[in-house]
Amino acid sequence: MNNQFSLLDYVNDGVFVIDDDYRIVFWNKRLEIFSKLNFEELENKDLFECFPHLQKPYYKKRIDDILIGGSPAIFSSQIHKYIIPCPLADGNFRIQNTTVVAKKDDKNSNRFYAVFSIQDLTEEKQQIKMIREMRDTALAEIENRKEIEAKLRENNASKDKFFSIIGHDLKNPLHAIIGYTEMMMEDFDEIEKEELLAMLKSTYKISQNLAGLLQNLLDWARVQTDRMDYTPELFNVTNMIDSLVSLFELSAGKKHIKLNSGIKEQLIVYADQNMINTVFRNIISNAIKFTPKYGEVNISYLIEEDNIYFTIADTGVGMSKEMLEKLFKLEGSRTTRGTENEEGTGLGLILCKELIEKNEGNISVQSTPGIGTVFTVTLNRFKG
Amino acid sequence: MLLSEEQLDVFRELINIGVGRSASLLNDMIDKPIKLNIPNIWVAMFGELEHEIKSQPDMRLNSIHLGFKGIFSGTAEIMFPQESATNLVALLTGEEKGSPELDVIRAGTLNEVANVLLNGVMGSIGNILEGQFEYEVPVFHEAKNKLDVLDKLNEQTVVLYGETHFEVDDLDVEGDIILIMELPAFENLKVCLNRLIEE
Repeated sequence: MNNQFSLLDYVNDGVFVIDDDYRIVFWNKRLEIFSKLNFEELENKDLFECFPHLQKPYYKKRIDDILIGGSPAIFSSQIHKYIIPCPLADGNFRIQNTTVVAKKDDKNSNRFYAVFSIQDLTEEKQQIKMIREMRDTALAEIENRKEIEAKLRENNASKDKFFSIIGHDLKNPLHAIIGYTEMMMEDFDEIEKEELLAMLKSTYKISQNLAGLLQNLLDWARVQTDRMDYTPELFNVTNMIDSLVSLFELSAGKKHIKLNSGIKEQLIVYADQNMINTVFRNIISNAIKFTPKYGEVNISYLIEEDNIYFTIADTGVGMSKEMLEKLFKLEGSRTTRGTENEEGTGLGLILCKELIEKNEGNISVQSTPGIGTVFTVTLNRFKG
Repeated sequence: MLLSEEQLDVFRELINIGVGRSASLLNDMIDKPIKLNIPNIWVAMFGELEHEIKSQPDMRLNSIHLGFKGIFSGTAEIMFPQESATNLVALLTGEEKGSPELDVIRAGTLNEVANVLLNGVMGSIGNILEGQFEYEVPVFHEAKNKLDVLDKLNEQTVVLYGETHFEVDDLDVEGDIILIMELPAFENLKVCLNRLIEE
């Protein structure tokens, strides 16, 4: 034991000392515990043989400076992690801050020892890591809450919209039906046959609109509450669009609107057929609704890589920038009457967007007031 | 004039040799090309500087202080504006700049970088002037301005001031290396410089 340094056995840091021949001349008790190496096995051994990584110039040059009496050297834990490997049970090493100072030899003032003092920072670093993890968890929680709050706001808007539809869009046509039927019952004997037929036709039309509205409302409510069945399957969209064109031929014809489908190729997609049908039905119905007499509604498509882009272009009244911004948003949605006073709910396009997204597709719109509107629906193409 | 042009030239060279040595060590250590230069060195009595320092706006600083005794005695000081220090430490450790832990990390890393720099400078002075110094352990502290770092100096204290400029990757880091000594110690330094000039 080198008595010059034995007092250092009682300090709380790991300490070891080398002489100017790089021989280890002291290794304190604390460092024995940290490193699991006993002084007996290291005594008078060459530092660089025992710890070869210290031969790197940025260690050796600085140690050499100390051994000629140079100023203290600091090896921070951030840059070096450790100077002497001190294994932990988990396979990692103790994190250390090391300060090396020159100590003049008591017997020979021209010789210097290098005294390495190793401060163990493992616990502090673990606390920092723990605090960092706690912070990350807290940040994730805040994000989560923000999402929940946004969802709640959205749900609240949905609820408001739901009540507004119930209160207005459903109530008005129902009152109209009640009014017509009441009139027909009360004045049954006095009403002319033609007038009665007109009243019945009006009642029928209002009931049909009401049924369509109810269907949309129910679909939308199912989507909102995640209760809508999503059953994707392979199906032929060309056939679906052809059927819809046939379905709308009558209403288009009443306004002398040319409704054309330019889809000649048999296009197969993998999606929920009912949902996609609802989407195209709503868009085509809107196109007819907002196109004045003698206009056109053209359906076309474009295949690009894995996508099929369907466009439904009309020569209708078009929409302003402000209207476009609110088009797919529940908060700002409102019913707009068609060119022939056709009614709607303002709900159809919101439903379309949700249904398309559920099918991993996309819906977008471009419009110029007075010129027309182009809706583009993107679906994943099935290549077979 | 506290130092003649000739003395100042020799002193400037000593500092530059030390800084060059430190740069090479830092290169090895962080495995990144690092350029260090001292574009401007000047000497003044603290009394002459005090007014100017007081008129400067407060700027948070990180400083490292190294006391030494020997052929001449005094303290060597490195000051980094906190923003420069944060940039430098973030670059060396890979930590995010905004990270709250960087404050904890900054002290350790800066202490080592400053230690390498000061040791280079003091080593160069010691070697070339053939003088032995005894050193205290370097101490890191945060200050609200330069006056806070140069606290308790009297008017007759000599301050040798070197503006340091680091270039690492695309990052520019500014700092100051300062040697502070009382007049008798400064006279000893001048004797050493004159001896070197005569040789």
